[in-house]
Amino acid sequence: MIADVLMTSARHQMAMVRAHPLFLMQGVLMPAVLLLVMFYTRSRPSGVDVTAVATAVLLMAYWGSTVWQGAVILVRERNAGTLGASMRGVRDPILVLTGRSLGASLAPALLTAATVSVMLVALGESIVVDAPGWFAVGLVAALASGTALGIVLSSLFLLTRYGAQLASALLYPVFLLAGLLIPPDFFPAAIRWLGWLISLRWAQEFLVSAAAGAPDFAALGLVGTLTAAYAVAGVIAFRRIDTLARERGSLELG
Amino acid sequence: MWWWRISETARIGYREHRAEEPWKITFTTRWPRALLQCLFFTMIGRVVGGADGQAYTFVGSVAIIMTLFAMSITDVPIRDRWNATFYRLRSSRLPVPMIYIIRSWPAAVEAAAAAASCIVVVGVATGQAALALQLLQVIPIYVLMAFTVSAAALAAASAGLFGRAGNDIIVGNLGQYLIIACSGALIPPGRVAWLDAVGSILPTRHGIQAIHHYLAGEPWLADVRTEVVVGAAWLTAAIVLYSALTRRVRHTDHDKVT
Repeated sequence: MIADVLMTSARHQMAMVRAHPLFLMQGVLMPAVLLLVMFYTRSRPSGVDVTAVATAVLLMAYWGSTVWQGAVILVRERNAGTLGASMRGVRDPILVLTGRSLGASLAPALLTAATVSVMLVALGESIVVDAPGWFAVGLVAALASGTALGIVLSSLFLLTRYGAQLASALLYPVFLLAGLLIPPDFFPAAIRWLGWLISLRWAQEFLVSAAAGAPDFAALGLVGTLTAAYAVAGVIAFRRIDTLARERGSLELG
Repeated sequence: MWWWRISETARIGYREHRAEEPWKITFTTRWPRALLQCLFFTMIGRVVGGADGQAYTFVGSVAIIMTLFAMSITDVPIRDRWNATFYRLRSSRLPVPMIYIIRSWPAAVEAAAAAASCIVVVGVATGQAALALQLLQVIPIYVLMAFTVSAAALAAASAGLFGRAGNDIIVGNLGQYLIIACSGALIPPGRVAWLDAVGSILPTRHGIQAIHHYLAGEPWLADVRTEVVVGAAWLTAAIVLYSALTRRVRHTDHDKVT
């Protein structure tokens, strides 16, 4: 039954995400442009680590989609006037939100992976994955992490009418501090630790190590730990929304 | 009374801009995002090309962030669609294209101001204070680019007024990514022929080249002139598009705006 609710919610959200104009922008344009910049800012051959760049671009575009698609699930429901009904539905609303957040993560992740693959072929580059099984595990871990973050952000965004501006402001701190394309040692030690709290950073370390054939299980453990922390924070934030809307009546559900 | 009409339209433009982007949001999300985006693309240059690469991408990153602000111009005509107020513009004494041009001024000014702040903050943060000082000397070229990119955004925004909802988002984002890839801000000209071809008709491309030439002590005025021509072409395109759309509505009385 739980799997049924999750899958139905995810399918529904994937259909909504595919219909949104930002779907193609985030899933195609953003990774394609980032790869062009990384490979052509210097004369070819660019000398960049192809595997590290490809996984970094994949995760960055994925983060962009999480922010623009996952984080606004509840806001869009409120705008459509269906949030109240969803909160009072027969199924546990947090379960439905989890499924929808999964759908919001999965559709852009698949499109981004396809874009990165096509672009690498077009650029005449390739990556070699020595431990494909563990590489796949890393991708699933990143997907789970994005799903959990989607739940947290979705609940928080409901508390402000400036969700779009907030989403836009959340992109670059993660791009910078997660160490995906920019090494962490480019930043002062005083702020470097902030990157440790971003699961995508550890996801990339694990993906690169798995591609090299020596999976870094400590990094995978950190992805799991941070994902669990995000999920707990997400449930707390959602319960808070529920309290504000149903007990205190201080939050409009649409 | 023409000056009164223009000043009232400008005042409305400012007020609706502030309603959409209150100061609190401007300073807590939009400007920090612009600074961080500028920092990100500047550092990409350092990752890929060392100190020289960083200096190159710094010049272009400052121009790129102006597209963030110009993008908000796509909201100007779309508000008339949401609020069903386009029919009132049609009865205005001022032509519709002029109303949209005047109402767009806050985004262009904010883009130029954000560029100046990025030069100072990112310049200092990345240890390029000397280059930042040189860039402050060519701030008029950045101001010019703020207006050329705003003219292009206004032309693109016409897509949001008619046709499918969401067209403005597609066109706005497409323009932003095209400028990142093709303007020569990050990828120097001469690397990829088709990027150069597309970039030649985009705003910021020639302005950025003018600044690079200025920094290298080479002639730069011709590039500034080309940037002016490109901006004027986009402004003309915006006027033609809004005039044509207004005429179509007047003739057919059938549109999705009223």
